[in-house]
Order: sequence, then structure tokens, then C-alpha cells
Amino acid sequence: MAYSNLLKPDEPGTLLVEKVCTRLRRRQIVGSHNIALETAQLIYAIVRVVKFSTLDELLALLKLIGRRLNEANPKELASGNIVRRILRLFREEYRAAAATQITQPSTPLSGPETPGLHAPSSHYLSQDLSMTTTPPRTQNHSPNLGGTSTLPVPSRAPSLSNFVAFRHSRAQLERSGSTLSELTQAAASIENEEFMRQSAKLKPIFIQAIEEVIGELETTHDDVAKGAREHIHSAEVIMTLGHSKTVETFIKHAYRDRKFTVIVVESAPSYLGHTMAKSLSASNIPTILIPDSSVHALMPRVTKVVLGAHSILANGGLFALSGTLSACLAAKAFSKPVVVTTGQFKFAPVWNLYHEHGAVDFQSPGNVLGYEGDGSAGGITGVTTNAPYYEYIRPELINLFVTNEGDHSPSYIYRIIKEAYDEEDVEL
Amino acid sequence: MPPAGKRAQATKVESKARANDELDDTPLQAVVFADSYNRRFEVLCQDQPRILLPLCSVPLLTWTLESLSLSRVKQVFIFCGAHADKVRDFVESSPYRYTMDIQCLSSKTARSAGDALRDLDAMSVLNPDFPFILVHSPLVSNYDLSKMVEAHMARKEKDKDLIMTMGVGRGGSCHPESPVMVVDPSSSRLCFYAQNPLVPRHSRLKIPSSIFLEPPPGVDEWEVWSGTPANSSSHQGGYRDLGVDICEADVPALCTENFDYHDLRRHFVNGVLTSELLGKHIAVHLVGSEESRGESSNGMYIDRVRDTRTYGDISMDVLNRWTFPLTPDLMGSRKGEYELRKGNVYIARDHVSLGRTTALTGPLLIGARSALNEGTHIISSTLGQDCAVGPHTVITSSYIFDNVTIGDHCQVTQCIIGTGVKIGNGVKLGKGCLIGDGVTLGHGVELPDFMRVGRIRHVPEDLDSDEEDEEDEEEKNERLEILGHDSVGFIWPSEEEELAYDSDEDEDDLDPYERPKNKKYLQLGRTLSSLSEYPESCSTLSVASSSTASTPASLAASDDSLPDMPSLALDAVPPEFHAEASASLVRAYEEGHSVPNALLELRTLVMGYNAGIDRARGEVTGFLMSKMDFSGPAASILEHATQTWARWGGLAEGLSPDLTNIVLDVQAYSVSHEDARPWFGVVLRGLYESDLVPEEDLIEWRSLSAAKGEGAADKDKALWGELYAKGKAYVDVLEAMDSDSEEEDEEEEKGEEEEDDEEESD
Repeated sequence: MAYSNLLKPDEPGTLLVEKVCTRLRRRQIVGSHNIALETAQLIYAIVRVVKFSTLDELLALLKLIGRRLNEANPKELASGNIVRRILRLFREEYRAAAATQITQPSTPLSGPETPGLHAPSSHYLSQDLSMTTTPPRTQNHSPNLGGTSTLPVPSRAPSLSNFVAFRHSRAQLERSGSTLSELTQAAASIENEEFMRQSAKLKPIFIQAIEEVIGELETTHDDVAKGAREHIHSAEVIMTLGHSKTVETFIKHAYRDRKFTVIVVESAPSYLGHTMAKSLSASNIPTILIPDSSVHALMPRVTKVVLGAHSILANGGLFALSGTLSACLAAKAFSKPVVVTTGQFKFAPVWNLYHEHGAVDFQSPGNVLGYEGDGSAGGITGVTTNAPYYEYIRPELINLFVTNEGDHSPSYIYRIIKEAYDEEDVEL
Repeated sequence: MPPAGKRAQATKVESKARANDELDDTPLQAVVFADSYNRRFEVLCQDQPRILLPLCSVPLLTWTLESLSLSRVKQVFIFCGAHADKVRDFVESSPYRYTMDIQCLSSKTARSAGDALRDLDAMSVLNPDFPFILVHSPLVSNYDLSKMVEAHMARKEKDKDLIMTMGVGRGGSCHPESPVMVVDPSSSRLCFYAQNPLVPRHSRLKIPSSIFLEPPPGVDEWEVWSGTPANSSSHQGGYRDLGVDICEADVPALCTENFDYHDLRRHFVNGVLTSELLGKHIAVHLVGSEESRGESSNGMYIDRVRDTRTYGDISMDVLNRWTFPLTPDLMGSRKGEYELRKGNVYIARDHVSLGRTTALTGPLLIGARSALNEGTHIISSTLGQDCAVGPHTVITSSYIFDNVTIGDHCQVTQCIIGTGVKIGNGVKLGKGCLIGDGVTLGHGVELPDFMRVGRIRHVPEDLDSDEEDEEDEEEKNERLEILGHDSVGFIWPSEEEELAYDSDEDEDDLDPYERPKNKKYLQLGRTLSSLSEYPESCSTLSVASSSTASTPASLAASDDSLPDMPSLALDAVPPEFHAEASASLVRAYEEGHSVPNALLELRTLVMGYNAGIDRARGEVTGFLMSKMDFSGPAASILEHATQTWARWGGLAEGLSPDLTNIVLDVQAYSVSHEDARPWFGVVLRGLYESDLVPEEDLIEWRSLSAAKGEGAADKDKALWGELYAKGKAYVDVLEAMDSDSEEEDEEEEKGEEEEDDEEESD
């Protein structure tokens, strides 16, 4: 790859990426939402420090980071989704900026794309990179607007439109694997300087776009829960499984207006259901905790199954905590509706992941058997244990997806995914 | 209490806060010993240090570094002996150098862990105010060791003299290296540590009385933590020493002060524990005892590669995902390198070619660009990269490194095969064979069990290099006989023979784990199950032997049931048993021990030497017969015999499930001892009259073919027959006597008449 040397060792950015990758690999960050947030913040930090001359350079860098994160934990698709989403936003911003530029060819750059231009890069560097809270989303993000007049004015504005056109055709070239950097350079050799400035100038906008994504992520649970009262009626019996933050917020939200009972399945061997049940009953919601084995027996009493997801595939199927499939099949048998609550960041542009045996993320037998056996290091010999963490749920078992962007049926998921990500980014 | 108690308390609070800060700020340091300071892997380590050997195609150092960086270690010192440059090259190219500060320290002079610590002290690279993690052997773990460091610092707050915390794991199988520890459960303070090798099993353990007479303040009770599993039925293992210590800077300093500390456990720990003078304390930390804070992702698997046995066990645990998330499909230099298939089968995605009829029985791992042919069967093994296996070869529980070529119709069972080994067609490798790097084995070679083959000749430790450099004729012949002319490689002496070289070393100073009998069980492929000390298994062993001993031909079958312990097979009872047993009998006889006590002693001997009770009963009857005086008249002989059998017969009875065996033994004794031969009938009568052997058993004896001399050597056959005739006469009489009780007296007369010898004496 032409950009494979973008992540040079000993750069602060590389270290940040390495750090997140190792944590991902060691499962120190788990849960799609946490991973999505972590990814967005990583990219936020990277974009702030990185020096780039063209947009493509930046996009290639982000793609590389996305690939790294995905390699670090291939089961966590959320990292890739966030990178794709950010790439998409960058492209949109760039096109918008380019369009503005073309319409006002003679005037110096003004409007939202200008402010960061002369801001010293040290200004961004000096900020704390390990930021934990999102900076407030500001509509007016141009504090240094007054300084624009000192900027060298790009004299050959039409070149930009050339550039955009160029980029378009490059999408095909990229697929055919030609050396695009040479092409770019050849095409833009004259206006090289201008391009560089143009792209670098967009940095504040890009940063704002990431902030937008982070803000979106942070409010995902509440956004999903907004429609809760439409879905849960009074005196219903809701079954849920494991501990999904989305479902938790959803149920708590609904309980403000409706009174109902929740049955929580404990979901061995992680027993996430225990924490869920505690959290719900702490909010005075009538909660019943049941073992996994009772799912089928209790299903006739249940009026609705509300589930969380780990990731949602383009065919409308999904990966969820193991035990979910049995709940879905039981619900099917008793004709109970199954509702999946999820943020959009879990929608992954992949189709056939479930064909692979390892996709369900087999865990250590130690979670099931304990570590005090007679095996070499306390394991138990002679017992083969299969402890998958996730399960694949076929789309036909799901009735409805409740997302932060409205409610959809499984068959519509592909459309949302198509809209959310740029086609060029499906393959990171 | 010290007078400055108040101040101490104040500083305690302070230092606690400081400690917490420090754990965040001060980089956690770890020291890894790249050298083992023993020779267990030597044949595989001719070109590379042990720590770079691959386990599931990932070097052990990577596993160790992964475990350490998982534990938030920031600075690692790798202490290398041989092949330091290779370790350095590896570190240079590893991705861990981005996240950790890794330094290679090398010392050619360090011959033991104690030396290494002394060198480390001299280099003064360690932070003197902060504990470091000392890793003895390559570690495979998903446990966060920083928890152990935290626990150590918390204990250090309470006990200023604490210098070390040893990691201890719960569970685990029987291992030849199992310690016995005496621990105060409340403070986790270690008070006594003894190495407890599996063979020879120590039935006694000396614990100094001082820990009971003057226990440290606050200690109410001691707990004994033993390395062996509690019993065979429960799945709970014992306690194992993890070889991971949290050390204060005092530890290397103490090693410098005491230059005779070599082994960290045997010398250092025992030295510190027994020394009043030093006044230092050692604690233990049980992995998993800390309260979990809901971090479900953190596992508790921790083990180290100490020998080929643990190498195999850990490989299997990794493939069975006990080390999750450190599994082949999730870790490694390139992600997604392996594809996980059903049954824990890991296949590299990079050009692995499998034949249509290749059978794979998991858990197993096949490295990149390996090719398996038609009919090849791989069972529970790991194959490195670029390996080629010919058709119809069966590989079971073996660990094969990179670039290995194996021909067709081979059988490889429980072996470790080094890098670049070439194995011809039809080769059979016995259990536990270790094949060093670069060896070639020609077509049709068959290696016996536990054979070690290296590319270069084995060099004994204490041999001068220029002395006896050439292979002598005898050795060459042996080599050619086993390996054939096509092979490139030298046969290394077996582990037991290796002792001969070390024998000039003081026996007492030799590490009990390194004694050859124990060391043998560190090898891959040795099973420990038949070693278990439970009486049930011993009795089954002896029942088996008693049923087979009478027919020597069936001994082979019993050999098969104990395939892993040729030396413990029943036909190979050590001569010491004879000496010990007769000494014990003499003692019992002369000092007039009670029969149950003497019997107990004998049984102990039987188990100690795994002799089988037939052997013991033969010993007893022989001894008792020898104590009988055959010189007097028949009546006195009979009286004496009856008395002897009445007094001591219980010994023989207690050692035989079937009383006819006693009669057979007596017969056998009489065959070999001329003075007893004429009196066989009398002795038989003594057996009967002392109520030792009832009539039915005598009748049964009469019907045995063995009693008639079948199965005996040709020259003794006549004697057996002669004695049989004598005995038969007596038994016939007995039978007639019993069946016709009215004529009892007469019959008895008659019987006496028939027994000429008795008649004479009358």
C-alpha cells in the first residue's frame, strides 16, 4: 500500500493506536458501545496531531487505523463502523467545502472552513490527548475568523473542481490497484501547495465532525429509548437477556409512563443478567431473574422479548450474547414479538460473517469449569468445553429493530447501511 | 511494638497513598530469566535459547511478554545467558518494544538463578524503592500480575520485613516438582518451604519446631499447602509454585551477600526462612484470591514452561482456549493468522494444503504453508510453518517446529521435533522422543521411547571441551545401529544415564527435582497416573501380579498395562527389596513383633519397591522355612513347624489372596533347599494343624498343575513331582479322613503310616 508507512513508529499517533489495539486484543475494552467511543476518541486525538497534506492521505491513514483496530479484535465490528462513519463525514465535509469554493471563486476563503488555517498546530498538540469527555458541541466553531485576511489566497480556484473530478475517477483506479499517489501528484503538481492548504484548512471541520460522532454515541442510549413508550404497554411482561445498556435505558425510560414486569435471563456463564436485574430492581421496576433453562417454560407468559445486540449485519441478522438464539426460537414458537434495540453504530457492512466457525468468539473453558481442576495449570483434563460468547440470530427471528434513527424491519437494514457508509470504505 | 508507633502509623497512611500513586506512576519492572539453568530442553536448544522455542508457533518469549504487558509492566529486563544475541534480535523486531521498554542483559558467567540475581544487583538497573516481578521460566498467562504486586504492597505496609511474595496457584495436576509449604492463612506469610519430588516419594517431612514453639505474633494456626492433589476422585488439585515472585530490591542484594545462594527456592527461600539473623519475611499470594472487581474479562490461567511435560500440557491448554484471549486465532504477530474450526482446530489461512482424506482430530494447530497428504492423521498436535507430512503418517500429541519434513507411513507419538528436521519414510518415533534442530532421520529408522537425538554430540556439563571430543567406536556402532547410515545426528544419553556425569556432584547438594528418577517424569510422554500412591491402586497392582506371576508367559501382558514405566514393571523388582524384606523379617522374628505390625512393614516395602505381593509372600514363606529346624525327629519337626506357622503364618496369609499360594511357595522352597525336601509332608501338615491352610485349599493345591511341576525348569521338574507326590499323599489322607469321620482314628493311623518319615520318628 502506498500509505502503509503512514504510521511511523515513535510518533505519538502510532503509540496511541498501538495502545488501543493492545487493549482491544486483550479484551480490556469490551462492549460495542465502549469500543465505538474509544475508536472515535482515538481518531479525534489522531486527527488533531497528525499532519496531512491531502485529504486522501488522511483518509488512508484513518483506513489503516480502522484496519488495525479490526485486526486487533475482529469480533468487534463497532470500531470499523465508527471509522467508516467518520470517513464518510470527512468526505461529505470536503465536498461541501469544495462546492463552496467553486461557487465563490474570487473571494478569499471564508465561512466554516477557514478558521483553523493559521491556528498554530501546537495549539492542538498542547491539548490533553487522553481526553475522556467530549468537548461541547459548538455550532459556532470559528473563534479565529478574523484572521483569515492574512492568509495567502488560492489563486487557481478552478483547480479544485478538477481535483474533485479526479477523485471521483480515482475510486475505480483504486480498486484496480494502480499507484494513485503518483497519479495525484502528477495531476496536482502545479497546485500542490494550494491543495495542501485546502485540506489542512479543513481540519477544524473534521474535528467537529468527529465531535459530532462522539456526541451521537454518547446519547445513543437515550435516543434509542425515546420511543420506548410506543413499544411497551402497561401490564406487559418483557423478557430480556444479559446486560445490554441500550435495553436497560429503554426499559427504564418506558417505566416512567407504563407499569410492567421484566423477566431477566441470567445468561450463564457470564451472568450478566444478574447485574441487569439488580440495576432494574434498583429503579423499582418489578424484576424476575430466571436461569437460562427456564426461557422456554416462561415464554407463554411473556408478551414481548427485548434484546440487545453485539453487532448487526447487513442482511438483518445479528450477533448477540449466547443464549439469545434460544430465547428468539422460543419466542417464535409462541409467536411473541422480538424487538432488538440498538444504536446505529452497530450496523456493520458485512454479510457472511456467520459462516465462520470462530465468529462466535469462543471463550476460555475456565469461565465454565473454573481454574482449580486437576489439569496442568488448574484446568480440567478430558473435558472439551465450548463456550461461545456470541450467537448468530437469523433475520427472520427478529420482528423489529429500534434504533436511534427510527424503527426498521430486518429487511431494511441493508438500506440504512448503504446510506451510512461510503461505498469506498466498506473494505477498510 | 516500636516506640515510634504513632509516627509509623502516620507514615503508613502517607505511604499507602504514595504506594497507590506509585503503582500508577512508577513503571512496573519485570525480570525474565531467559536461561533455565537446567538441561531439560537442551537437545532442542542448540541454536536458540529456550525462551525462543515456539509454543503453538509463537515463541515463548512472546507469550511471556504478552503476559507481562497484560499486567501493565512497563520495563522488562531479559536476563540472557547463551544466545543473548538471538534474544536481542528478537526483541528488536518484536512489536512489544513500542509498548514496553525491553532491555536485554547478558552474562556469560551466570550459572544459576542466584548468579543472575547477583549480576542484576551489580548492574543496578532496578528501581530500589519499588518491587519488581521476577519470572523464572517462560510464562503463559492471562492473569493480571499487577494484582499480585498490589497485594504485595498491601502486605508490605503491615510487615516492613517482607521482601518477597511468591505466586501460588490453586489446582493443577501432579507434577514432579511440587513443593510443600507451611503458610499462615491470615497474613499469607510463608514459614516453611520444602521441595517434594514425586520420586522417590518422601513419606516424611521435617518441619523445624521453632515455627510451632515460637510462632510470629498474630499467628494462630499454620496451613500446610501441598503440591499433590488431595485425592484421585476430586478434581481439585493441590497448590503449585508459579515461579513468579514479586521481589523487593533486597532480594538481589541478599543474593550478593550470600554467594552460596544458587537455586532461588532451595537456597534463597529456605535461607531467608530459616535465618533468624536476616529477619526477612516471605509471603505467598494465591492467584484468584483477590476479590474480583467485576472484571470478567481477566482470566486466571497461569503456568510456566518448566520442562517438556509442561510444554505439552500448556500447548494443549492454549489450543483448548484456557488462555483466552491469548489463543492462536486471536493473538500472534498478524491477526487472523489462524482460522478456528470445529473442535479447536486451528489452521493458518496462508496456503495450508490438506489432502482430501487428511484426518484432523483436534485440538491441533497447523502453521502457514504446511502441506498434509492423503491419509495423514493428525491428533492433538501442533505443526509449525512450512511443514510437509507424507501420506498415511500418523502424528499424535506431538509438537513439531517449523520447516519439518516427515515422510510417509511414519508414526510420531508424543515427540517434540525441532526446526528443519527431516524424517524419512516409515520412521517410527517412540514416546517422548526429542529430535533436535537440523537432524535427519533416514528411512525406516525406529527410535525407542524417550530417545534424544541432537545434531551435535551431547557434551556433558563438567567435561573439558578438548577431552574426549571424538566419538569412540562403540558409540558409533550404537549410533549406526539405531539411526542407520542415512541419518545425520547423534544419540544423546537418556536422562538416567546423564546422572553418571553428574555423579561426582555431592548427592545432598543436587536439586531433589533434578535427581534422575524424578527428572524422568519431567519428560513429555511419561504418565504419572500409575505412580499414584493410593493403596487401592497398589492392591490392584498386586492382584494383577498374583494372577500372572504363576505363569511367567503372561508377564508381557502386565507390562503392557504399565507401558510408561519399564523400570517399574513387575519382572524388574529391585534387588534391594529382597535385602530390605529379609532384614525386616529378621527384625520382626528376633524382636517378636506382632504379626499385624510386621505385616504392615512388609506391605510398605511392597509398595515402596512396587514388588508385588507374590514376591513378598515368597520372601516370607522362604524365611519361615529357613527358620525351621529339619534336623530332629519328625515329631519335633512337626511340632516346630506347627508352632512357627501358628505364630508367623499370619504374615504369609496376609500377603496372599489365595492360600494355595502359600503351599506352592513352601513347595518351591523345598525344591530349592535340600534339607527341607524330605520334610515337605510334615510342613504341609504343620500348615494344616496350625489352622493356617484349611483342607479345601490343600485339596485345591493338589489339583493345581503348577504343583505338579508344570512351568518349572526342566531340571527341577522331577523334584517338583516328587514333592507333589509327598504332599498329595498327605492331602489324600486328609480328605479321606474328613469324608469318613467315623473312621477318623483309623484313617489317621493309616495316614501316619503312609507318611514314612513320620512313622520312623514315632
